Amino acid sequence: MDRPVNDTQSTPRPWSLKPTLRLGLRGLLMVGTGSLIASFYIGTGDVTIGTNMGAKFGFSLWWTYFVLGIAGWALIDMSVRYFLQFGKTPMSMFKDVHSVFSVYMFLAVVVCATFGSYNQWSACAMVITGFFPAVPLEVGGALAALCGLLFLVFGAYRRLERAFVFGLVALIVCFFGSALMAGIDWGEAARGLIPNAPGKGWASLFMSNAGSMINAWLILIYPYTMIERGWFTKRLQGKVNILHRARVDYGWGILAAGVVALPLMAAASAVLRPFGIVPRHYMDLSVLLEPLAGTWSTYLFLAGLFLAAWTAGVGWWLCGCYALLDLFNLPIKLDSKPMRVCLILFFIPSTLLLLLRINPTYQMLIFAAFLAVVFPVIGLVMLYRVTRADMGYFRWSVKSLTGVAIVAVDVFAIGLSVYIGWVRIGALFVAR
Amino acid sequence: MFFDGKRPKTAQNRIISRRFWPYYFVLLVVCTVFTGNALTQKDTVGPVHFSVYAPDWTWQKRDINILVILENAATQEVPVMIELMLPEGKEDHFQVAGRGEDTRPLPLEVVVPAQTTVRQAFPTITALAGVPRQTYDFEVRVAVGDREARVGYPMTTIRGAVVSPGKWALYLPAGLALAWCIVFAVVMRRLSRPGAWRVASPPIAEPAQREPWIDQ
Repeated sequence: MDRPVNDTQSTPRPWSLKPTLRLGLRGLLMVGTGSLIASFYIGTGDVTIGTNMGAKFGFSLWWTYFVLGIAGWALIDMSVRYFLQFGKTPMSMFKDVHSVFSVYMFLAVVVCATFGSYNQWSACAMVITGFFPAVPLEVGGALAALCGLLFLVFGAYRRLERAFVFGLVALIVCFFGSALMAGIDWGEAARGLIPNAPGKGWASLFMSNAGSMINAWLILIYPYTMIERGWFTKRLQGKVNILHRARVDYGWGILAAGVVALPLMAAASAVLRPFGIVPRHYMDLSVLLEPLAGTWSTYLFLAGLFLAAWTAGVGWWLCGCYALLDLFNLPIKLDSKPMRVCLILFFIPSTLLLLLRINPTYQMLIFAAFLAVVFPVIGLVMLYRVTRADMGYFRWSVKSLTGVAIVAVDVFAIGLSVYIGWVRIGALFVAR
Repeated sequence: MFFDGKRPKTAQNRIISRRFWPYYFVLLVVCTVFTGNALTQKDTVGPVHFSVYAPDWTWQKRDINILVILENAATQEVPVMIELMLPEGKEDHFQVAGRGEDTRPLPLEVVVPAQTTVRQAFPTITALAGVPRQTYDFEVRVAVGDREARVGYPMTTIRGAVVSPGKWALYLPAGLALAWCIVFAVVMRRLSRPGAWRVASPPIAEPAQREPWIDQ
């Protein structure tokens, strides 16, 4: 049984304390971990789904990023609340329930991180091949992966965060620059924020987006970054402050995915939609952008795609390694030997898989659907854990407005992910 | 056996050191000097200037899209005929969406209003597998009345995906990753204490030095 880590003799009523820190401009700008979170959301999955949505329905499905973002936010919040309450790493939740979940998580982590990172290196390879046609895809992808490996092996956590903030800003600038050259219909974009069902095929894109936004065990990463930062205290008021700051941080990370989706949809809507072309390759969009928006638009798009894929590839590895270190009760530390061993073990299969040459655009759509299948088990275990009475101050309570809101978003997040998982299981493994 | 490796601080952060950032930026800019994999050709037929944008290589089993931009410089509308000619004698190496076995040239008739630019595409032309990889001669013909211009260009196919799009695109990589779990299991168990995977981690220690805002 978990024991809460508090130095207070009597725990106040749930959700009754107010944060005493003022975030201020400096606090808002220091959204390092948020940018790290954003990098997981903005990868080839986001690019693929965003451009497919834009090519088929214009901006009509922009709202899905925000609805699914609420669910993603709630799920990260659950893992953070558990960590703050008990001071224990996320995998402890699963081990506490039954050791069979350790096996499930182990398999999910290795398969998803290998598969997910391989997709990103494959997308990087396509960009490299776009610039240097003589470079074989396998070589381009392996070089991108090797850069990622060296970056993590020789990097320290703080520097990593700064690099990701820079990368996130750069890719947002690239994608928006590219889309602005092609033209963004702001009115249509605003209308896309209103939930609607624009036509046949929207539901499968929504499901894939759910797999990308409610991202299996990736939602567990935030507590690892808190450990790296030293964001933990036994004082309850300190915990409330940390939760407040963290919520802004991962809120920004998730919001960034929706922000980046806008220029992707705009570019696809302007370039592909008039001809009924559904992008099955990133180069389709970059090549077709050129006559409409100029050569630089293509370069910006390719640079943005490379940044998105590369940071997401690094993110998949990082998440996978943290989760495995946690599963085997090893120190959660980027600068450690077990971490480096894990990184090398991920490097080998994810680069060898490049030899398969499977189109990452297509593969990302089905992989996102696969993620949606993996997640519900994780979500249900988390729900079971955070609803128990030993969650103390952070437990479910409907005696305050904040408590009601937390219960509502938790239920919404789990309900949505279970529903989507159920539908995807049927689509992938039953119906054909 | 568990171990937690340490490295000398001097080895840390070299690759992402701030002093390297200008070099990375220069590298990024240099990349843009190289041409992409698109092919652009421009020509004029009567009052119509046109540009053809097309990829000059593709994977087998993958689609290509060809875009033609027409600019009418005249003060009246002009009917334009565009035709995509698939490589002669090798038409069956390609499949055009919605046309089944029909591999005749793809004609498009477009009326371009005065002083206007119109874009037309030949989308979703799939390079089929099962034929030798080679360089094909594609041609786009643009005609205005009895005047015409032809733009020819090479398009090379390279090896495509090992498995066709479908469930195997998920199952094969996922299966290989699943097999790799064995390697992870062996290595991680050697790195950790026996049975660690079954036991919840102990609560982490409170950091001695915390950021001041936490205890504000």
